[in-house]
Amino acid sequence: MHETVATVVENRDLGSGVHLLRLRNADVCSEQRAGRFVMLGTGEDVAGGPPAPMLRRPFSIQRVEGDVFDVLYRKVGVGTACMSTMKVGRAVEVLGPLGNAFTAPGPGERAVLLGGGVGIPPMVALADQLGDADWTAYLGVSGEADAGCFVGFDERPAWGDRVVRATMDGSLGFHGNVVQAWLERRDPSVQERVYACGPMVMLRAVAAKCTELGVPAEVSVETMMGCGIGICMGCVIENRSYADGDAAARAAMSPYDRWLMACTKGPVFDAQGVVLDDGGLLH
Amino acid sequence: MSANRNGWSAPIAPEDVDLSVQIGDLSMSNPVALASGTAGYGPELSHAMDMSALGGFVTKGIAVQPWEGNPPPRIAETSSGMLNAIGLQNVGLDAFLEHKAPYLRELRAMGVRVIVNVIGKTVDEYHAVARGLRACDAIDALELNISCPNIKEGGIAFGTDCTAAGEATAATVDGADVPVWVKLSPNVADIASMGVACERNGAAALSVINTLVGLSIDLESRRPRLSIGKGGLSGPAIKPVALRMVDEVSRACAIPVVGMGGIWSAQDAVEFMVCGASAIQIGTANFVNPKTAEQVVAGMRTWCAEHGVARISDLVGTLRR
Repeated sequence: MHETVATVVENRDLGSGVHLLRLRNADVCSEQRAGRFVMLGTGEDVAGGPPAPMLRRPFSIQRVEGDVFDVLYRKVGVGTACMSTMKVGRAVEVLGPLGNAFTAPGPGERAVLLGGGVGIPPMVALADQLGDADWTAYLGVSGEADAGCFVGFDERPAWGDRVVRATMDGSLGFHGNVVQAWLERRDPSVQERVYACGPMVMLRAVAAKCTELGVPAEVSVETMMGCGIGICMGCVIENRSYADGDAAARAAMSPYDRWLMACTKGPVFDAQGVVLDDGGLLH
Repeated sequence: MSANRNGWSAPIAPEDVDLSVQIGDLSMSNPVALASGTAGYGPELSHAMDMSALGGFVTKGIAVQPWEGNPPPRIAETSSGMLNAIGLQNVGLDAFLEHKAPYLRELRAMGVRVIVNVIGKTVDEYHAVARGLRACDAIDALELNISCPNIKEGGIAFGTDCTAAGEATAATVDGADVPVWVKLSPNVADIASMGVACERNGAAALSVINTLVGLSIDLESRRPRLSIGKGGLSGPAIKPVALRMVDEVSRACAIPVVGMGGIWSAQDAVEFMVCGASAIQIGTANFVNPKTAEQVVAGMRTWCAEHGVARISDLVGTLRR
């Protein structure tokens, strides 16, 4: 983990509020593993006082090339609105890479990558990391206007039909969601391990289907995060063994372990291990 | 050389500035500590900052039993501040002694004063934590968080009632084998009288201030942005309130005041000392820039040198009226 400054190399508007921000910092790049994230300062520095907005914002690292790393973001609030105005050459405060990472697929396992919207970036990172290993990716957005989210995969045309693009409205690629796209092409004779990132509603569907099929699954979650390093304790997600446990099971656990910090215990969790619910309060 | 019209002497060399301070019997190499609940139990920040630069470190609050804390969302950003309702999620006394104390021992070996924040729901719980912490040899002082609901008195916070605050203080002092600081709640009409009540019951110092109760809402849904509704406001937004309260408490009480509330820079820290704080704590700024404390220590040295202040402790309570 590095507390450092990166330089904006590119900040490309991909339409529908989706942007690709490319930042240069060799230290951050050197410690990246698929699934990890950075906290970015989005506000302008104010001498002697806090930047506005004050708290840094978490973003998955999408791709590393040399000493440049990419993050994909959608303009949804004050922080991302500030980011969208960042010019090439601007210095950005960075803390990271942070959090855990996806585990590697076991021998003989096919990695199935499921990404939704601005949850696609960790799947790009994982595809890069898996290289020639056995993997397929199913990526979904609501409609063609959001196709900018696919940029990390679009940059690798050689991946060809290992990558399936889907839209909910059918305006591009497969008509339906990523779970439907995966199930349509799925070969039940192949042992799979699912990796997913996207809105909670998608992660819930992934977790339910994987439970039904007996397929192991890892999900990368987004929560409201303050610090990224486990000191503010704001970014928690509920431990499923507590939520589903009976009185005896709960009594056997420390109450401290009911809420897990997504920044240090995650952001990647076993899909069965956590309650995939953000109360609808995240964008 | 004579002082200028603001009372400052000619600049001196930074290495000639003495940053050490005294909180009762406890000496600190410099006035800067990390505030409870904003720095975990220590190891979390050690990857991002040089912990040996600190004068002190205050742990996350510890209760007799583990507490689960509140459901999310637990934090919301506000103008120049943030609202939190973490709910004092903590590992509890036993796990603290077993798993968290070893790092505190390392911190202490670096010359950092270790202060353990104590929480409870009854006077007896405060006493039990203080007593239990005697088992740890790595503690220089306790800091009592009296902004907890008193479940025996209908959930009214200990920190808003002089009698309850005094009782909690006395119970903790009785259980402890180290000095007890009390962290005052700003959510009262007269914070000075709260300070006096704690002082009379054996407090060795007063930490001023805890967070201010606030509310932040999402207008579209007309719902609070935190799961439990209200939360504690921290960050630069509360600094003027904190300065006012440090001034009031330090004038009403003889024991030292440790100041906190929105400190972001060395200048902020020095302002607290001028208003009567003998040491300061940095909280919310750690979330934004984990190196803040280190930078504040260095900046205080520079500031003192430029203003000809040879001993930073000479600045305490020098506000001109």
